[in-house]
Amino acid sequence: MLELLLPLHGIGGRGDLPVPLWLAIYSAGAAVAVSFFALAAFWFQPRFEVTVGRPLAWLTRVVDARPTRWLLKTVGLLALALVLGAAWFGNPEPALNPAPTWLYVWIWVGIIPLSLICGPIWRPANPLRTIAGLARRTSYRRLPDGIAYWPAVAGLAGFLWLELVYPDGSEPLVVAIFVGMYAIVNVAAGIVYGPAWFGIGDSFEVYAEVLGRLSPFGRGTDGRLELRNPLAGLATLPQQPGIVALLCLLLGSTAFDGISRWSAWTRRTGELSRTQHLVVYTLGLIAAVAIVTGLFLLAARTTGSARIRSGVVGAAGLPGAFVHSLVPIAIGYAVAHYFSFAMFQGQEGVLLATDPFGRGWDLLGTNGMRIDYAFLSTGFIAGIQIGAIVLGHILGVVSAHDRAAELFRRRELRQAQYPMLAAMVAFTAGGIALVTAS
Amino acid sequence: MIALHMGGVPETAMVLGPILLIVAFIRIARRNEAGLPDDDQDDCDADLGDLPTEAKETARRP
Repeated sequence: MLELLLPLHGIGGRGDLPVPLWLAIYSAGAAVAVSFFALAAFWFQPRFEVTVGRPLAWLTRVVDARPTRWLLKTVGLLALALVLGAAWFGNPEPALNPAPTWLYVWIWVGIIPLSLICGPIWRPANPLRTIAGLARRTSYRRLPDGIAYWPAVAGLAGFLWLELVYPDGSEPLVVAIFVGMYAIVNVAAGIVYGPAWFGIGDSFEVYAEVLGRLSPFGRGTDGRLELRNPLAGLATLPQQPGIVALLCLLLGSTAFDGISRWSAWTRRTGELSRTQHLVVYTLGLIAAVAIVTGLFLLAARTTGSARIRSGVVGAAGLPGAFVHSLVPIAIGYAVAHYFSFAMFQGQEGVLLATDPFGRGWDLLGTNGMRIDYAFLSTGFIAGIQIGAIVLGHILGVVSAHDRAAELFRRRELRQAQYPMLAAMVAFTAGGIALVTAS
Repeated sequence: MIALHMGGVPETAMVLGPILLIVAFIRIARRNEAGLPDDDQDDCDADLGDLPTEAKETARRP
């Protein structure tokens, strides 16, 4: 399927932009810079650190009611069973099996709008939690110190390697093995360490929870659902080294995905043997993640030249203090990168679902229908791509500035953020070049 | 409009506009910063509760 997806992924190209590429990159970078200086001129107090949302008692009652919980658990279990069943027992041809599309489009891309709109919904529906919960235990082993989020980073790295590097990552059998192994490891860890494991070790739940911080719906300190400013929710992201690694991995992998579609890259790597492909693509992925991580750590640590208010910085130092600003940027990149892919390839998930197990069924009556490529123009897609990246970075700049207003003295507030501004402008320009250049 | 485009006016405006905006915002920010107290006394935002120890002691003296 990967071969099928490649031409669709990032379908908006240079020719679809309403302005020259250099002007698009300049304007996007300028929008971020102008936003920053406007904030520097008018915004001196942290506003998101103390904001409290409006409690939604009725919604909390509905969501926490036993029938709702059971419904969410059932939907989660059914989804897992369908993916595994189709991958193991469905058509062995990637183009005729819905499981790869369900995993790479519906779940991996769909988790973004789902978490942004519904907030913390993945956790109650997580089928791995449900399965692990069936093994009743009186006590659980304590999670090792300092392990928080690192297992999730490792799992995410494995998934991204499968998606972006491994040439057979879209084979149904490979999907079946990956999902099966992932489920076994996480359920086993969940039985040993208890439900706390999934909050720090299950990559998909951790990813969904991170995205959900930017949702207008979230849980307050008392556990009740509340309607809040999304940026105030974002400011509650844990300041942990594992979260910094997770977001840098997401940004770096998206950058590598863009680079690996450049004609300059494909020309040089098109004739490689399988082993060479694995080595070159793996090194490329590592290099992209390392560059993004290095740039962010450098920018965050350089801000440390200014004096910092005591007691504000958490366990991950200044990178941890600013890591929440990477979340809207990561979402902007993901929307820019996956929008056309999800809109077109996502239809394939419905069309193939009519016969999930390759038995000649036509459950949905869609047999013989084809993907509709005409419902979105390439110009519209290019606009969404650039708009998502610019909006993501502006929200990132606002979040970073608000945190800086808490960290730095007013006299140093503007200048202390120059390194972070430079990194944001570089990310913006690089992001647009990656999704639009060919 | 065609004449404007051929002269590159929209492109020039797109390039110069943000620069002028940034210059204006920097001037406002500098003007605001000029009115701030010295670094040692700065920030002293009661909500954040990080008033320097010296300032607190000074305030308590009769």
